[in-house]
Amino acid sequence: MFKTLRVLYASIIVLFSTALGYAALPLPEQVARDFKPISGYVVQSSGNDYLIDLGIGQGVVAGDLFSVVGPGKAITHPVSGKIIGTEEQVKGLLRLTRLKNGYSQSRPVGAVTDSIKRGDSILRFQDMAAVVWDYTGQGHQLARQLQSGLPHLQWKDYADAQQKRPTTPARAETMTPTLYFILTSQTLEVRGPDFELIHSYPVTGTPASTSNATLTTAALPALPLLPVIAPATGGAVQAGGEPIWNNANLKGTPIGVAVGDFDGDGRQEAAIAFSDRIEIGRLNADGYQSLGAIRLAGGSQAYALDAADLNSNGRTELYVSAMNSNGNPAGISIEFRDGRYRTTISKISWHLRTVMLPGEGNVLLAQEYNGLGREFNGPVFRVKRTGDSLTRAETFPLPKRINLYGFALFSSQGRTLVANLDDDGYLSVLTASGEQLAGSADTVGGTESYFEMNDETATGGEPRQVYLKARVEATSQGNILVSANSGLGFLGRLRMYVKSELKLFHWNGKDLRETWHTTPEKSYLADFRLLPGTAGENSKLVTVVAFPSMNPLTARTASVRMYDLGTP
Amino acid sequence: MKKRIISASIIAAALGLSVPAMALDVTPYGAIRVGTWWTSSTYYNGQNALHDADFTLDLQGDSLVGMRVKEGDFSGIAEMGAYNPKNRAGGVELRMLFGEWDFGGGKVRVGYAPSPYVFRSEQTYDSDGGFNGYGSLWDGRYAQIKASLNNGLYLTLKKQSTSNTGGTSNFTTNTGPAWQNTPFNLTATQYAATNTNYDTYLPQTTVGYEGKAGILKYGGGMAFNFYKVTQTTSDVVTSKDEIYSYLGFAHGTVDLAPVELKFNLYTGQNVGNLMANSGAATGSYYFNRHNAYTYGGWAQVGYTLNNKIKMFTGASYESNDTKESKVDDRMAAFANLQYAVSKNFKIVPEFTYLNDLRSRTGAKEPQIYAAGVKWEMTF
Repeated sequence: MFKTLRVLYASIIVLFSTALGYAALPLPEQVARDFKPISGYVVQSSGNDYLIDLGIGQGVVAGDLFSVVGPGKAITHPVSGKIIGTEEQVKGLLRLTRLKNGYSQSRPVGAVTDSIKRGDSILRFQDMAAVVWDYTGQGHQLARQLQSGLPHLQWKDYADAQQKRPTTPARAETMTPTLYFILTSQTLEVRGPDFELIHSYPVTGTPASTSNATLTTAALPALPLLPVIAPATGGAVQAGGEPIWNNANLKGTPIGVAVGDFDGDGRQEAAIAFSDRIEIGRLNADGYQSLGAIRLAGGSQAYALDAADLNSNGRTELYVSAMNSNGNPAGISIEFRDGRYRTTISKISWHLRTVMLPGEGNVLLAQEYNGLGREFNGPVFRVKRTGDSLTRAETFPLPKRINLYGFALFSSQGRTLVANLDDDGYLSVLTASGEQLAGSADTVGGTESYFEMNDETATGGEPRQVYLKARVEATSQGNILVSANSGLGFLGRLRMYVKSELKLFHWNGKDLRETWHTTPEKSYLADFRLLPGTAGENSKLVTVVAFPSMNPLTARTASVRMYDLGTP
Repeated sequence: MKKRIISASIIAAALGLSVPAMALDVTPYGAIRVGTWWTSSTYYNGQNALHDADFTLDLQGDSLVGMRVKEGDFSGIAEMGAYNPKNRAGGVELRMLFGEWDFGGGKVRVGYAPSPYVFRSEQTYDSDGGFNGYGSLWDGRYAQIKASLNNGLYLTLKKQSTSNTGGTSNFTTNTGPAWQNTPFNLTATQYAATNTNYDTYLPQTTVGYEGKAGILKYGGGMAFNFYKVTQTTSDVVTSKDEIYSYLGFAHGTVDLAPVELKFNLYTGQNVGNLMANSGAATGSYYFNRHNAYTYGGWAQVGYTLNNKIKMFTGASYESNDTKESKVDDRMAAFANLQYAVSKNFKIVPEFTYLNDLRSRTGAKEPQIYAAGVKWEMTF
């Protein structure tokens, strides 16, 4: 009877593994790289912080933990009595908080047994007690991969840890590990002794041929990981903060950028929208090659650009939100058809925006415009394309007061959350019901893209320029990207941003932390698009910026840039 | 007026100071507009025509600074500006001060704002006059409560008008000094054997609708105002008038981008009494116990050449008739070109022609040819 059950159990496991297509993989390189031991020295104290001699380009990132080791008792020879060495004394832990060129700032974590001194050695993730909490029941293989791949950590027994782990991840009361590796069905999170997030990796299945599946791998399926941009506690400039190329041959103030395979040739093109035209070019490894431009009808003014392949023909269409010369919505769709780019849909009467939805991908959403005083009228809804016409589909549920622009959805711990740019410029995290969970410490966003409302003009009021909220994009890892522009941005009809950066925020379940940003510079960051890495390539960012001009009579210089984020 | 200005300033300052705490979305804005005009007029003394020609350069009356605030479902506007050059001695003018509550199904506005039947053209002469008094129902701004629904219907309860000569409303004469120049000075508080008593019962009421059908945006409605005037001389009532004002109005915009057509039409009884418009024709007022009947309107064609240049031309006409005397009519026409030098700087060369035709007494009235430029900077 038991033998029969065991055979049946094994068969079921094989069937499941075949269906899921999971196969065992070695420990991902990113995890090994993130926890590779690196040594350095304490340079000096700086208030409550300590400066260490590891900085940008030396493999460390904000959030890394270092054991501080100082000389302990002298070791004397039992016969000669001579000092033959000193014991190593672990004084405490330091967390890297801000990366600099040649050095970094760090801050003690927990108690420090002895004062940390200049010259003390620091060892990243060396000899730290680590535990795996597996909430999937299938992480034994991963635990073994971690133990063999990261032998410098002091691993607790997997089975024992499983018995003692809390029902939901929380700082341990009875155990005192330094590193928690918490495996859920969606992520592998690594947290420090204070339960601060250090790294997060999404867990995804990788299709494998059925012939490779074995009983062993099926019974203990490994969950391969995709590395992500390392979250950290500070706002440090990290790898990927500088563009890998920069094309500054554009004229005007961009209002948006979209990337996709527009002509179906298997290569990626970029479209850059200005208020009066859409420029299209090819993205190469070393730059942007212009292919041409499509001008809007005379007097029309574009204010947003998005791209999606709604008709699933393998060629991404462009969707331009625009107002015509009389101030009425008149968006267009541009498509590569019969060998050239054409306007295939015109007079679109909605605001349009694509949003990446967890588990669904890129979808086109819309919202109505009401020229009688409601620039964003009614609920946001999905858009379907039939032939060369767009139709309104089902309402897209969003918390109250969230309009089409300036939000993104992301998954966290099994629920969908909303990252939204508030009216006052702060980035907030909301539940689906609108409850605010956290907000950014500083204002972000800010655009110069606008459309004009003239509903009060005929009765003696002033035209009102409605500036769009900046694009907010959630990565597949649940991080949130948003631009941060500063400058002249408070006047109703005159905006010029002169300083910008792109910021990455991480939601750790409690707080919204800025974890990364591009190098701040004197420009206006009009829009950006995240290009997730495929086939092992690194993820990339495409941005469009405009540079300040003191002469309002001349067009500003604009630039399209690409950043390599250093991770797939 | 000073009280209004002080109140607006205090509100603006309070809003500004409370920004960090209340996380308000505060947006200041403004516009500076200067007009440079060469005018040539012909006016009459009986049948004798006289002429005058001048150049003027002055700040337009719609130069302003304002602030828009928004917090959740509530928003507000405080706007102050220069008086029209003809009333520059008035100092700074409160242009708008209102709060608005967006309750989902519509909005409620409470404050000081233009009347809903105002619909102006693109004519820039006379401080962006927009055919004011020549086919446009401009009557300034008044305290009001306006409820508008998302389906386009609206109701406005506005401060009542008691004007019978144009300009500001008339008031009961036997009010005490302490009540002068307040909203209460329609209520007598001091005995006088000879007095003029204005009695009002209801706010000036407007119901209307704004809608859209394809390329046509349209609106229309009705307005009503009523008051009594009783003249007493040596304790003897010498005259008693009940002045009923009605107004029916319609306007629309046809979007044929790059062409735009606009029109405004209205008709009514004692429209001058309803609107207290200093620019209105005298023939639009109740006169000698006769109601004045008015109809008028304007039409305009616009064409957008490109992102820099728009062109407009239009004409207007208004007729006022008390059936007792002559028709007081007038007309105007204009053509201009709006050139956007930059996003925030626009110049508008224009040619305008105004002709007051004849008064209600049948006398010939002035006509003006004007050529000039509006210089506008916005922020």
